[in-house]
Amino acid sequence: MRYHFVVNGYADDVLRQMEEQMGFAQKYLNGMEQGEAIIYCRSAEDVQKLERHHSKEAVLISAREYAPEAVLHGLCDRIADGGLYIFGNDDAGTELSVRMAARLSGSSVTEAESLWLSEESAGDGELINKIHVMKMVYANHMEAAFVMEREPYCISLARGAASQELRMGSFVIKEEISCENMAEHIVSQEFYPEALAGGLDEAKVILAAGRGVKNKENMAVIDKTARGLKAEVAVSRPAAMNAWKPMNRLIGVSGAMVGPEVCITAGVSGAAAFYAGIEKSKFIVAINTDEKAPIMKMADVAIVDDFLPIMEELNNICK
Amino acid sequence: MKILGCFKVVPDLDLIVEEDWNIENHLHIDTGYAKLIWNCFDEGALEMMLRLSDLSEGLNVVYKLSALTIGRQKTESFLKTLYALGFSEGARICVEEEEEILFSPEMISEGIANYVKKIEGQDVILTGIQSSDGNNKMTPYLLAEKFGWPCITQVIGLEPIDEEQLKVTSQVSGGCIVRKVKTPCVLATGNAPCSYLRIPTLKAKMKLGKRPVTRLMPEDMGMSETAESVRVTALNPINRKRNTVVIEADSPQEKARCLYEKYLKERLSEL
Repeated sequence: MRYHFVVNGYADDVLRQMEEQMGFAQKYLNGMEQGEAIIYCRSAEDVQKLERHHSKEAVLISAREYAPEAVLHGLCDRIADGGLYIFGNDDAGTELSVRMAARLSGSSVTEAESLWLSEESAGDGELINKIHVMKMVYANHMEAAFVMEREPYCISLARGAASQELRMGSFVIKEEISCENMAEHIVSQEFYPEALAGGLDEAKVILAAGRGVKNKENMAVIDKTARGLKAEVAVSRPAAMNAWKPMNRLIGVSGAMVGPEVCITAGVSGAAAFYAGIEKSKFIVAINTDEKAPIMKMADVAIVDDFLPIMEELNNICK
Repeated sequence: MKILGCFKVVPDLDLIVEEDWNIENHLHIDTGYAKLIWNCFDEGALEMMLRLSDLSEGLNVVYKLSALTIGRQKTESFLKTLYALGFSEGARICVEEEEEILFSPEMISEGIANYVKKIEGQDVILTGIQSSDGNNKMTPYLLAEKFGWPCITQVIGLEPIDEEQLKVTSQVSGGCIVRKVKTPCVLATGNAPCSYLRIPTLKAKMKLGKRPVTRLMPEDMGMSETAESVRVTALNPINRKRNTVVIEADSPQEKARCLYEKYLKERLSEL
């Protein structure tokens, strides 16, 4: 069986996605033969500009605008045999992996954390390879193992996987498939850039507020302390749903997955879906009035108290 | 325009006691005692449908809103809430065992597709992007493939245009895209800014919330014959505990000073 990377050349973080694909292959696909990469992108020029590669050869599926239907058309036309297809960890990777498997009667698993092969008897004495994938379920409370039954096997990767440095130099482009004018359902479209999420992904210090912050006025205290600590402010889902901060400050399974040097949480209970977003923090501080809140066992340092006087004092110290 | 909101009612996983996450050799967790809540992305999708209907007032377009869920009888109270909020149809595919639909996105999408084909045709299908328990993240994409319809993911806003088109806002890296989209299509809702469903008035509950829910059997919706291409084989608990140090002091101010001096000062100065 061969494996192929499927790369989103439209993504701003394409290199990081490729690094994670390469890290995944190095960790879990040792010994498996690598096939050409499939890159969906605006143009061959964009791919050449990357000046990095993780497969020797690549097939391009190009169109000026990304449309999943167009990419799927190119992908499914191109794939003649089975094999394992590894998509990136963004929304496009998830959608395309599921739809490609459905279209080709294969199987798919999204947000895969790890993978291994087993040999099973096909019944006639012949041994066949089975692909097993591990992923988080129950809002990150548990991990589940799945066995994939049908080729082609299409997986998208979980966010925050270990990465591996890419090789220098460009892909050798074997073929370019143009897929313009395939999104007939789109009458018009316009992109509106948004103020950055405050660089949560790159932040060294994060102050994260949860439901226990109680209201928008208290959120202003968090903001003030964050400025003093030179921290970025983030929120848990309940705080975002109450509009105390915009959704682009959301941390957790459905928001940013961060790994700062220091993460201070205030009024956060520590639901698994939230904790998944801060799990990679080097040092976690939890401030909560409830000593039994789950976060209190998952932090390096905990304070059982109201967050308000703690924040105010931290702010005074920073002055 | 006919719009179907597909939603899942999920257990509040924050209420599951710690020991229940540590059970081994099971392929599902007993969540039967936990309070049931709207799956957060689905809740955002349903509220978005109501807002779309609000925005259409005075325009020459009528939205017929329907809702479909697959699950236990307890989920019918959620459908009745939707009736009270103005949904015209509410249906449940009766599956009483949670584990049957937990890791079964192919079965779920088959059920929804057959509802649309056999019971009530639709122009738009709205779902949340994923459910909090199964985390499969597949249903909207499988539906798009079953119908051969386009799909837009990470939808955060809907506005009316006319009977054949919708204005759809979706979140993408670095911003959002506003598209005029021809129906039919599948829309997968992401982190919508207004994600809480409004609360119906008592009057609306009395007047509209008592209509019976349409009950459908999974075998009639083609769900029994659907074989999943991916099977769960094990569930493992995760230990995320750190060796927590609890700061003890007489006042919160002292605790804050201790936190800063002992644990933060050096770390922050190194950055």
